[in-house]
Amino acid sequence: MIDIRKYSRQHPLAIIDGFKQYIALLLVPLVRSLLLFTGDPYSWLRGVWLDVLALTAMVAAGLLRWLYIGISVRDEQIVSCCGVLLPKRRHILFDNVSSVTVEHTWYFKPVKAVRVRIETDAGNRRAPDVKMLLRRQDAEMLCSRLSAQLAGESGMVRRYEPRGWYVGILSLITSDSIGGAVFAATLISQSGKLLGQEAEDRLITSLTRLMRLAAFWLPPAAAVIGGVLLGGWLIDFVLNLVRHLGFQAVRRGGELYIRCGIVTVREYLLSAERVHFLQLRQSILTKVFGYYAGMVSCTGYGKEKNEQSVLLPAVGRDDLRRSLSLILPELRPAPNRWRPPLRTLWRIIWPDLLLNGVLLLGWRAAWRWLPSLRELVVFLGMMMVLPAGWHLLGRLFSFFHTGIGRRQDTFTFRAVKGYRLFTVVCRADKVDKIVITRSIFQKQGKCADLQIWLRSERRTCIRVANLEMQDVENFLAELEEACAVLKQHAPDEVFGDLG
Amino acid sequence: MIAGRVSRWVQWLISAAVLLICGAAAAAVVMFTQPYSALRSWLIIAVILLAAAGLVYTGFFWRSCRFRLTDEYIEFQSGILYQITRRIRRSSIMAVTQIYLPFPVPGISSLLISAMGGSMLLPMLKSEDVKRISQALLPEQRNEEVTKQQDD
Repeated sequence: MIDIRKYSRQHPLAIIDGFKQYIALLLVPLVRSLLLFTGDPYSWLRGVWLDVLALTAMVAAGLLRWLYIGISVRDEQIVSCCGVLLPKRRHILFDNVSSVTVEHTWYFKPVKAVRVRIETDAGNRRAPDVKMLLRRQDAEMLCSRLSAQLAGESGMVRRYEPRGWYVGILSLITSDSIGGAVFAATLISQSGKLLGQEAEDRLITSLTRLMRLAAFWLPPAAAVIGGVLLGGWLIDFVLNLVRHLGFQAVRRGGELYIRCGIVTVREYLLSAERVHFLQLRQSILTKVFGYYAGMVSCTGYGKEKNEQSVLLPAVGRDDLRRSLSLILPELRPAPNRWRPPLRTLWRIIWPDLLLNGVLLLGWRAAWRWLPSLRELVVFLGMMMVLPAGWHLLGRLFSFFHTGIGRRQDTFTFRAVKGYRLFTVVCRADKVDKIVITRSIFQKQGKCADLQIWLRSERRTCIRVANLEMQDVENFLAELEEACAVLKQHAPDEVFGDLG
Repeated sequence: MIAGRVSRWVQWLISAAVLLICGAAAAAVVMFTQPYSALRSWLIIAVILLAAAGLVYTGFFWRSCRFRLTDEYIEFQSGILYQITRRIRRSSIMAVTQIYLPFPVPGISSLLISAMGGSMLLPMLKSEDVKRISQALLPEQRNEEVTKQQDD
């Protein structure tokens, strides 16, 4: 059986951390009833005995769990044990660790507790391989041992710290109304659960009054919708900003260290060798202004709720090359070598051109024949022509962006999803599957779409549209050749050997 | 190469489960049929035959549960009527988890091999097999063993 004395235990706060949400639900009525205590303990206990019993059972279960969970960092591996009824001991070699996340949650800072997640490329996609609430010194020891292993003998430290407004641009790009609205809704409903229905009602009434004051010249329904969208977006923007301010990335040998956040500080220790791919994202607006947001796919990084796998919050064209050669020189984008032929451009844009033409003609006709409704015609025409024009612009950008490039053993795939432009850079051996699809029109035009499935924690597929068949064949031959070269040069990766 | 079979406990546990199910079926037959009726007799004979067949099958099933660890891969094979062979390349093994049973059975534990793309359970292995596999897969345990031998 497992001798738990050989392992470092979790922080004692882990006893209640596992069910803190239920404890809050139980503690609030208990404290409230304590405040209303009249001096008769018997009658008080008669009112709250069920809450006291549930709380005691939870703490007892937490204590039992805490007693049987431990972690030990040895020369070449991390050993963790857990389980009361079904004891488990897990061995993870340092070489196989993809990422370690250390989360300094603000309310754990005074008691020096940190949340640690250890991830490998194996295991459950939704849960980390090891997740513990450790003492800060234990987490530091684990990170320093792993860091020494990853960094090797390389003493050169390369640091990237973006300017504050770059983080602002990232928050601007990644914020959405839904995230903020969900956060606000959760906050309101949780406040109702914890502080009572009266407090929730009061909060909603105040919000409604605020909405009325803010939107005195708008119809109430429009004001509510506008308020929810704008308020949600603003909340999400602020949350994203707080999460990513103070961002820095440091590269030392095979170690990629990322730190971000000002209230809850998160530190990530990634194995650069296990980074699956680099993804550069652009919207049409940021494309016009020449900005990129860089994300990396590495198991465990950006996996939790509200986290993003950011590597470069926002960089201009010139900064991109400089920053990447500093912190991730293995994955630098290459210019397109295979791109859709110009003859396919017409096939892509003719429906949009037709739609725009019809809309413009219709607008002109309505303007001419309905002089009494000109104000309405101008408004409706704008509302229809602008999105159609934007879509056409998106199509044009998409055509000139799409393509595949190669630099030594890395490939760069450029594709478009909706109005977002993606540039994905990965090593040849990280391509898991390629699907070639052709419609009747593409068969006539000797073109094909490529679906490229990449190795990552979430299934990632990039669709490179309308490449020439000859180019597709050339790309496949080069990919195969690059894979063969990588296989030849790969170290003899065997999990231990039979000695 | 390391090769071996799972512990006999697999057979005993499956046999116990078969006996439990057949016992429940026999009790149901006794409760819901007329005493001394032909139907009851036939059903009880059928349950006894099923139990016997189940017990024989568990013996063969245990024999079919084999593992093999080579330089290239680790493999686990099980089943008679429907044979399944699971194989994981050693280069893709990421973690090894030793799972102990909830009740104290001396010298028995299972190994969960986690790899990219899935995991493989080697159920109820003898402790010497677990030790041999762990020594082969985990360098530190191998080093500890070598140190111990040198000390001896």
